Amino acid sequence: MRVAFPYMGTAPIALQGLLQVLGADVVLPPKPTRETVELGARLAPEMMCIPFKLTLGNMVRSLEAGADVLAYVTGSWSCRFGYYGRLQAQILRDEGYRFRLLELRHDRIPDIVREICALNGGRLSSAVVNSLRAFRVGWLKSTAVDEVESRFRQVMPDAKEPGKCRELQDRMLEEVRAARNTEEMVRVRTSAGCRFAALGRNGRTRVPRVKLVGESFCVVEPFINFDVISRMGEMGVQVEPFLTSHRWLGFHGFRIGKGEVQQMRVLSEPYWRYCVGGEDQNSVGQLLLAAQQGYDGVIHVHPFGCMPGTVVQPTMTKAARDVGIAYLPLSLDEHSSETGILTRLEAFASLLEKRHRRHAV
Amino acid sequence: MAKRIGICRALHAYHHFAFWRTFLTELGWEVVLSPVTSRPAVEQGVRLSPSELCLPAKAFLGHVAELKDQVDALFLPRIVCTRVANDWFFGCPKAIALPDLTRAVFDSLPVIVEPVLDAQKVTEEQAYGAAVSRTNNRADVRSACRSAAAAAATANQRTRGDKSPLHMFSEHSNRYDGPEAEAGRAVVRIGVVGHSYLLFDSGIGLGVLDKVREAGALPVVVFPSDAEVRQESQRETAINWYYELELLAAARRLLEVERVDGLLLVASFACGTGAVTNGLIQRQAVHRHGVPTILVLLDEHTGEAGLTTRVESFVDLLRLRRR
Repeated sequence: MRVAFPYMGTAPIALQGLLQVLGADVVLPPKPTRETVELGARLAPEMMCIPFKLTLGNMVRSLEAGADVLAYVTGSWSCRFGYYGRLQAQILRDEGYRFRLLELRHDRIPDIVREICALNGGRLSSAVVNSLRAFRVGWLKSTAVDEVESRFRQVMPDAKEPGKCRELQDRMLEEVRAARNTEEMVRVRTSAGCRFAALGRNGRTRVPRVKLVGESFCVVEPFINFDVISRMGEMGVQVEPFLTSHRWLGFHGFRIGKGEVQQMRVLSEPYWRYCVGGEDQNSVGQLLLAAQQGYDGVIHVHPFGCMPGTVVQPTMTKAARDVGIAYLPLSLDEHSSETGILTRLEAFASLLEKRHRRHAV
Repeated sequence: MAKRIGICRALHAYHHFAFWRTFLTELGWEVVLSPVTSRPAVEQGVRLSPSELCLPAKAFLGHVAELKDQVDALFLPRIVCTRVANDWFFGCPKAIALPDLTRAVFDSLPVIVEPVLDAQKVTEEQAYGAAVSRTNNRADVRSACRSAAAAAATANQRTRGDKSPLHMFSEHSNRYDGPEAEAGRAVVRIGVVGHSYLLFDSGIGLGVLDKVREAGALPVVVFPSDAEVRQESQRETAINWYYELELLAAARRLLEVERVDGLLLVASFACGTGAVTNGLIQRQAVHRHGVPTILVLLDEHTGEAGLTTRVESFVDLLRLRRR
């Protein structure tokens, strides 16, 4: 079984490790590029959101690289996300690709178990043992990735040489990917702090902090959000995403963090009473939480035409005004111009700087 | 004096007005329906909305602006989830979030009566009952619901004939008496697929049905029956949104039973659900039935002349094909 799954941020590192232990052969597509998006945009309905187009392009690349099973997290829900798997499969089949569609949804769990058994020679006992090992590897890799990314976000805004900082992150992520045994995975995680701390600082005393909220794919995938975390880092602003690949795998995959979901529901209640998907409720809740936690601003990203993302925007504007936090909404798609987004980010960074100076006086 | 409750003549009202009006009237409200969508109302809605919102939702906010100072309460239901056969089908996320959006863009609003219709959790009666009980209305919800359902059924009965769902105030007929018909020549029949709130709202739909008629063709609009929707929901191509499912069923009847000469799809720009459905319908029409289709995307910038030209050229194309 040569399996491929939609690409999102650094999540594939852990997923690849997990699936390999399970006995599957993972076909990882190349990192997203302009060309991948254009490929997806050509096949997808025009008004479809950008995550759909990008993942569709990625799936084509995976199929060309020899994948024969496509795995999707799907469901039945009002947001278009739940429909991705089936729709992309239809489009790809029309294009003449042959593959098997594996839908990962709550009511298909028996099928998934059967699939795992088949990978282990049909024996349930070894499937169970292997699954446990696989989850352990996935967990270790995922936490290592998370640690590396988190240190990177902290160091980047006042790094003497941002280029070196980025290089170090790439190198360490590659190390996690290549790690074969527990010691290596743990070593990367525990060494991340020292290795990032060893980089030179530029002596900045105060770094404005911004929370990144919005639709999960746009938050997690740097290609779509124009790498807002390191770009803002270069401008001396620390950006904390409300969702990282690691949290996405846990938060959405297995719904760990139930308490937080509840907290967001309570916080957002005055503004947003019904969750319709696209992280709308989380975005409103996280914005209010950010204000409580003393963040200076909030960046809200959503794909152009994202149904929940569009309607939640006025609510976010109102909430931000009420609690007095700087707010920047960004709508992203394959036509978004890099210069345009950068200009807005720069303006936002200088606004934060000014607000800070005013508050300091 | 009876309290006045406002219903916006937009979006779901085109589907459910018969039910809502009877229900609220039975409970002692005086129902106020906002006037036909006007240009100023649309412009007002556009000013209030985020730019990416679809036109019907923008117009909806324009209707709210017109109503909000004239009534004691606003009726803003969230239609979340409907049951068809054994499956759940959802409303559009934008429509579900409309009450929150409305609260975010207006500074002052009357009381909002906000039933949450989620068939996974509550029955229709419970949803409406919970919403009106919050406004201290102690009348009998159950009997109001029953007579509302009866009124809706009668309205639908008429809809299945040749009238639009809002037949109380908008007329549409699947008959044609233009010059071709008088001369006994065959008339080009164009199936029109689109949400009622676009086809029958001349303010935002620019009277597209009349344009087809003026171009010398017969616009055929059908409203699928519950059985057809149920059948559609069992197919592999079924999608998760109830109102889009109805469009799929309508398109299927136009292609398979009515055997129209062409299919005109009317949707609004940035309609998220339409992005999925229109592709499906077009693929079905062209590949399976060899029927030409045209997709008209409407937004607040759509020019009437441009629309006329497109409809005329489509009719001409179909005439040429006939020869």
